[in-house]
Amino acid sequence: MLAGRALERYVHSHRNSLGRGVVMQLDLLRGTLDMMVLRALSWHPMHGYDVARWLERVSDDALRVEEGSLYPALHRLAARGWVTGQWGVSENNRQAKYYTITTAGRRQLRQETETWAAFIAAVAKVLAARPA
Amino acid sequence: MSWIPDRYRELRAMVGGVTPERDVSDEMAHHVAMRTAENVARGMSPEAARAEALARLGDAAAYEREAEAIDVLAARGQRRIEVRDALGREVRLAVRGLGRAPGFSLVVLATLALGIGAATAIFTLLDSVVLRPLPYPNENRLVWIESEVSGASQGPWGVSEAGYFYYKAHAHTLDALGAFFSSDATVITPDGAQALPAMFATASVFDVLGLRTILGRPLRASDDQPGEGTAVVLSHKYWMRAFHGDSTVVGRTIRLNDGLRTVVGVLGPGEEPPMRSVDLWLTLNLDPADPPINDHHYSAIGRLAPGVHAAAAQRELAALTARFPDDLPAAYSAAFMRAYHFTPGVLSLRDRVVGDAARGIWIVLAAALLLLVIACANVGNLFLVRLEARRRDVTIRVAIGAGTSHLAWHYLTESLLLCLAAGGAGLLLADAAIRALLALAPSTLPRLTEVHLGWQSAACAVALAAAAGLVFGCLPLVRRTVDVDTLRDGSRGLTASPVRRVARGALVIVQTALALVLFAASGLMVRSLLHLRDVRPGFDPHGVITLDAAPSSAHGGSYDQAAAFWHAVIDRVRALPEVQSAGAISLLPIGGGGTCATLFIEAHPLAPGEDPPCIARPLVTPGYFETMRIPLRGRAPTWDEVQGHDAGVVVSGPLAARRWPNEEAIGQGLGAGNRPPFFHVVGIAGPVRTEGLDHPPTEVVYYPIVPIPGTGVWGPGRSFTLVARARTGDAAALVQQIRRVLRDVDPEAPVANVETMDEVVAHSMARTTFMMLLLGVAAAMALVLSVVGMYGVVSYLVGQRRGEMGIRLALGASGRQVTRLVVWESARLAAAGVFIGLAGAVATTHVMRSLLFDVSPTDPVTLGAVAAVLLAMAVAAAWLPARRASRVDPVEALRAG
Repeated sequence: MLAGRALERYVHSHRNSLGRGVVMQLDLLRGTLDMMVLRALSWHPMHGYDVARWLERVSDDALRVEEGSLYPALHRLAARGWVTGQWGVSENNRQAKYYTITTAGRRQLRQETETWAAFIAAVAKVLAARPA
Repeated sequence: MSWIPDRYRELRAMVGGVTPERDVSDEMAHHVAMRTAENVARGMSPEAARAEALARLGDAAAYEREAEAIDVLAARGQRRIEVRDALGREVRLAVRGLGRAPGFSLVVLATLALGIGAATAIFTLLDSVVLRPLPYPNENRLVWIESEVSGASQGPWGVSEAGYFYYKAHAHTLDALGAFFSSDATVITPDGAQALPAMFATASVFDVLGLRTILGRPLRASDDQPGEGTAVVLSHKYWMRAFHGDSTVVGRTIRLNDGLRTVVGVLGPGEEPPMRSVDLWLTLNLDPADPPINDHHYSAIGRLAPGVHAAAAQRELAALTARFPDDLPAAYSAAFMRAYHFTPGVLSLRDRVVGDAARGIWIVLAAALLLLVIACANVGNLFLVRLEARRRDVTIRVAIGAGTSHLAWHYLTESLLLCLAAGGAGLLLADAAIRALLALAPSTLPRLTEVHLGWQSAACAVALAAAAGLVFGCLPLVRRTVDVDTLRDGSRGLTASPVRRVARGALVIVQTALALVLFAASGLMVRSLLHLRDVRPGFDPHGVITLDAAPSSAHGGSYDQAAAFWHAVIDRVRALPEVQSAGAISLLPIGGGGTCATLFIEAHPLAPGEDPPCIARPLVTPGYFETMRIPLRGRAPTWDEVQGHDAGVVVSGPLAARRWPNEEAIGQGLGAGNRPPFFHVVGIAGPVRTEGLDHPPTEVVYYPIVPIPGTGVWGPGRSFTLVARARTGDAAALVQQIRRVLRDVDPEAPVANVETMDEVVAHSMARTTFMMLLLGVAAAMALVLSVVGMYGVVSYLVGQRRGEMGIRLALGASGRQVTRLVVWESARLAAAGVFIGLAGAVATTHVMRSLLFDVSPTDPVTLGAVAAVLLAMAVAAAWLPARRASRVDPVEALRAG
């Protein structure tokens, strides 16, 4: 959950400059969106709306992505073979496409989480550094 | 053919566009519905709830597009991987399958490579020599101007100096016009004199051909003024050879035998005149003020004005020429124009350069294609046999559920793979064949330096291979898919299915027929060559060395000087211990060409309006007839007579017989002029085939090198060919000594074209020999292929009919009867092929007429011999498997069946 917390902190500290929520546009941020979606799916299969709700909940509604951007992310993950999509019936009897994380997806998530942690740690060190 | 729709769908899926599922909008709709429902549950109005849901989604259309794009890319990548895997799988399967039948694979590979190689090599030759444009800018507008004249034996005439200036001044259909002749120029270096091929050209030739220099400048009109003539342009080759590519060469002088020349430029590599490669370009310095003479010494090339057709230029030049008697009366009388039907022809430069080589090459290409068809028939046969052998196996596969399409795909891959490999091998073969061709080709074949294996040839080989692969790969599809009958009786049947036997028989017939056509063509060439060999040229070439030499200007300015030079040289050469005799002539026989002169006979004045004939007029020295062993009635002039300005002439037998049919020719008077003094005929020489072995002996007047006073119209000859006969017969051994003699007499005398007379004669037959060689090789290959094909088919049929043979033997047939049965059946096939082939040969060999000598294109002896040989070979090819059939053990054969 380090990733989530770090991102939350980052987002909180930039609330003013970013306006209401964070508009995910940059490649870096797109990569983190993919990572977060993978993380969401790591619990159990979800459809797109589930993922949006999950993000909303775990980020305390602080992280506002445009919900539409979740769908390219999901398809991107599917194209890489990290998740698979299948149509099924949702809780209120609607047709919904459920995404399931694959073994490769889990491996990818683990790896990205580590990389992210290392990155955050490094950035934190730099920011905490005092003049010598 | 039920596989087609099936396969088609798969193919389309493989190569066509990808259509992923378009489900993003459904996903988003679901999203919006869920969010709206939640919002409503929280107490929003339905409209507001939906608006809020949409707002949170953002630009839905853009995200939808993005997701779809991702899907398309992913699907494409997926497809690529699948196709690659599938191809890899098929290829691996095919390679494994072919590896299990190495004999089949190797024979197919070799046969097809041979066919494709031959076709590609000859196509390359055709493309380079005939089809490709000449390497000049505006190539399609370049024309050659020459006049076909009736009554002259020497082929078409060029243009005269007066004609050149006249056309240049008046012709509007020509953009540019140049005149030239190519000859040897003598360059004097510290190492001695050297005769180099040179182009004596008007400066406009550079413009016509668009020649570019890499150093200095081309020849200009100012170099070409009358009285100038000090400029020289070097060819790239000569510059590299003599100056080692020294870039400071421009401005330097080189010494020719008639003075110094300043190098003004060096041509780029490959910038060459049409027809003949030269080292030096010298100016012609024609003078418009020269009195016009009726001497058509120059070759003329022109560039048509844009949009003008050669025929239009021809009409204009013909109209201009018709005005010659009015405008140039001194040179062209109306009587002359009438007698010689003198009118110019304008033909494309490419046609002139390629000349009659085109026909020969097309014929050889046809031969190569026939060979390819024969090779393909063989290969097709092999594929059929292999198919037959796998029939049971395939039927089982189909029966247990292998998709027909998969089988078809497999066959196609296998055959494509094999044929493309054969195409590659064929390309290598073609490359080797082209090298061999270039080494063997006669130097008279134009544009040989441009011949190389280009991408066109490679494309041709690959296309042939791919086509063959497709056809052979589709052979198995001609059958029904599941053939349960095969399983039921398959190998138990005693004979092969009748349809297949007929197909195979047809292949043998086609093959035999085509081989016969090829064989007949090469047979005709062999007969021509044999006839040519048998032709007696009228002299004895064995043991004679020939070389061209000329006195330098210091020794050859006048008749007397030239005579003194040649007298000294010939006497000294004769004095060499190994030399039996020596002499000289202005133009060697057999090669044709040369100039003719009008002939007037003292005793037979022409009727008014009658024109004198134009007769070849070589100049000879004493010793010439003796050396060439041309029989002589009467005598030849002596040196005393020649140098005393009192020599008579020798005429050829055909001339004496025609001009004085009922009189003694010796003692008669004749000359090139219509008035005395006349030369007296002192001897009659035996007939000589001066125009080549394939032409009849010609009328010739052998003039002395010094004319009697009052008749000298040609000036002293520039270059003569020395002929010397060796005592031992080893003519080539004399060359060094003769060169030394020439150097002693005149250190600056150039020497060129050293050849034995045997070589000169061989060169005159070079084209026939080359054609015979090419067609012979093609015919030999065709023969081998068709015999192999026959052998293969009969072997296979015998194998199929083991059971039948066993029964026959068991029922009491003798081995000999069985052998006879098989051979007889094969002979019937071969005979059918031979008959069809004979008909084909009779229908097609007439295109070779111009290449043949003294043989009819439908020569019955040749065709009969060829048919007999082919039949005999076919029977021989059937004999071995037939013997095998007769040795079948009936018990074993029936049990195995």
